[in-house]
Amino acid sequence: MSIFKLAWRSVKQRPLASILTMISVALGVALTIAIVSLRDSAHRSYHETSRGYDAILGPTHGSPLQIVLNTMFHVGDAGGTLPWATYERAKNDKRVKYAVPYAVGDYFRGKPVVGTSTAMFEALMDPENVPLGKNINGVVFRDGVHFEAVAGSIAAAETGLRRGVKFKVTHGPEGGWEHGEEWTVVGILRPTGTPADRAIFIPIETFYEVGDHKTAGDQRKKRREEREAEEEREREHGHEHGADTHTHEDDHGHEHGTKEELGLSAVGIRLKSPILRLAYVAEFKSDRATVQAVMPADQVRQLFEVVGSVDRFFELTAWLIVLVAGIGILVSLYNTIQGRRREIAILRAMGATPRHVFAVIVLESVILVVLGGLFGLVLGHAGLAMSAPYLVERFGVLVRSGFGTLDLQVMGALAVFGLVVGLLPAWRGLRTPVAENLHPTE
Amino acid sequence: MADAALRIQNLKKWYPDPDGGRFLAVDLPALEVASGESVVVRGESGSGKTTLLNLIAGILPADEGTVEIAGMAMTGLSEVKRDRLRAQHIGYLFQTFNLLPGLTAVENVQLGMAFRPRRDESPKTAAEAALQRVGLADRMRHRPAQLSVGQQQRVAIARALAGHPSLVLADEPTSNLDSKRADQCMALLTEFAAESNAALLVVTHDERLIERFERCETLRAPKHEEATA
Repeated sequence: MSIFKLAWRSVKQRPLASILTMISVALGVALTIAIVSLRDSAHRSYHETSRGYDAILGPTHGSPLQIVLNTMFHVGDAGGTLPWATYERAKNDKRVKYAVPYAVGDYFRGKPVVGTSTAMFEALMDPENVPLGKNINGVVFRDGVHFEAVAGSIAAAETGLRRGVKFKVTHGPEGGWEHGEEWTVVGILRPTGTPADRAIFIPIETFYEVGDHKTAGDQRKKRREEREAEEEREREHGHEHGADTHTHEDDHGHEHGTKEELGLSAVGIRLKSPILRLAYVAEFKSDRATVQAVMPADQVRQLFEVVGSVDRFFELTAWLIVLVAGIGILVSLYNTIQGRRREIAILRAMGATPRHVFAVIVLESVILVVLGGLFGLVLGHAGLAMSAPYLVERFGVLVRSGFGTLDLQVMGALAVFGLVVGLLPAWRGLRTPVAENLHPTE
Repeated sequence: MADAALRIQNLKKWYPDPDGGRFLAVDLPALEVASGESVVVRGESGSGKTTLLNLIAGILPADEGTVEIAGMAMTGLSEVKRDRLRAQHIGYLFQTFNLLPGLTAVENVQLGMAFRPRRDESPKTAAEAALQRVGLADRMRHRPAQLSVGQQQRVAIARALAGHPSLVLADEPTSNLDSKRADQCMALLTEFAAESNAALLVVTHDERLIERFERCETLRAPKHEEATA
């Protein structure tokens, strides 16, 4: 008859109290596992996404974080536009492997419609490092003026888009006017757990073919030509000029189309080697007048430094639940000692030393906490596994749930915690007077 | 008596009185019980019989005198050492059986050997053999609540004797049994103790049992002592 068996029998002897105690521990542990796993999944998702590009070229008006969030996570607005020539220049740069243009501002049923190129489907990867374009039900749209579209999995599910369906886009997320052009869905991305799941992608050339965009471009062209004519007249009359504030130095000498007039929101850059990253980004620091280059990994890291305290708050809350459950065990065990004085006295009469009694009670506490913890781990992982499809569909967070190092750490911590929680009841137990509790009637 | 399993000399135990004085609960000038011998100690209710057994078992510390179990002094030892000596050499049969309700019959018997510093045989094997000896081979997996009072008493006897202790202490072992079962219980206890060559010390106020024993000792009535200024 081992000490463990005695402790285990004692736990089994009070099934209701033991089960309720274990459930309280299990709920705390399940919550902790869920929070930590979700946080880690979200962090991983953001960091993996941010690794898609070495740099993003964006407008100087926007903050670096705004540029990253808008370009890679399809959140917020672009904060301005870039000259189209910036994209052309990046595309022709020998150090650049992929230059991916982005034009945003249109929506379909609340989901962002992103004008881009097929390069995006090669440059960006899913968590298994498979290019987005290889993980598609259908095909990627063709570059050029082809009114074809690829929808992310969540965007497709929530808007009802399927292959072959035609749709029109609106200007702005809510209450915007509808453009007249129609795109046909040629591919649906499989769920990737990346922000691409939540967006709809069209060839950037078709973005500029939208009638309303053309009109806006024409108006800008007219205003620019009038301004240039005025400047020409002033020069002919020998007036002195101040500093040239024209920012389209590359546009001189060729006719402006809509894309030159409207520009684009950002350009995602994947370099041929990450070693080139710092030097590449540094070049744009001297050219801040028109373009800024930001490193998405840096921005995401800074973002999580800010929101990290919120994460920690939630994690702390979950651990507090475990702590409260542990205190519940302490109170419960401590109170049962009063009713177990005779049992303890019998053990002592059989030759158990105070140390044996102490060990039995501490072990009971460890058993309750560890079993509750194991139940909590199973509950937490099962909950995550069951909610994973919903989480990836609703929030785009790919939860990878499975037993791992975290679980071992949690179980180790719980065993120590159970031991600590059992100390006070055990101390009370070992002080039980033996003789007067063996014969309660005398 | 060279091979005494129990030797007591001038054993005294006082308890405080509410009026500031004290009363002498146990006063036993001398007692020896040899291995294989059975002795009964009689006394009225409240005469300190149970206290005497607890002093012999080392559950209570003595105030004066000495107790030796199988040649080893119980008095003067630390609590832990008294526990170890008790676990190794003493089997205890209680008036109320004191079986643990969460354990089966065989586990309750094993419990009597669970805390022994030295073990010569497997506690489980010894427990099963002891239960077989008391006629409960078919009740080994039963819990106390599933057994009759007589069966519970037999489990308690098996627990006291399974580990072949040097000394078996029995506290009013028949007080919860009718006369027929009391006779059966005492027969079983004395026979089993003799087979094990254990010294048997029984305390009782039941005069009918006395003739079963080789010797009978009588405890003195507790004595009140006035508080001293």
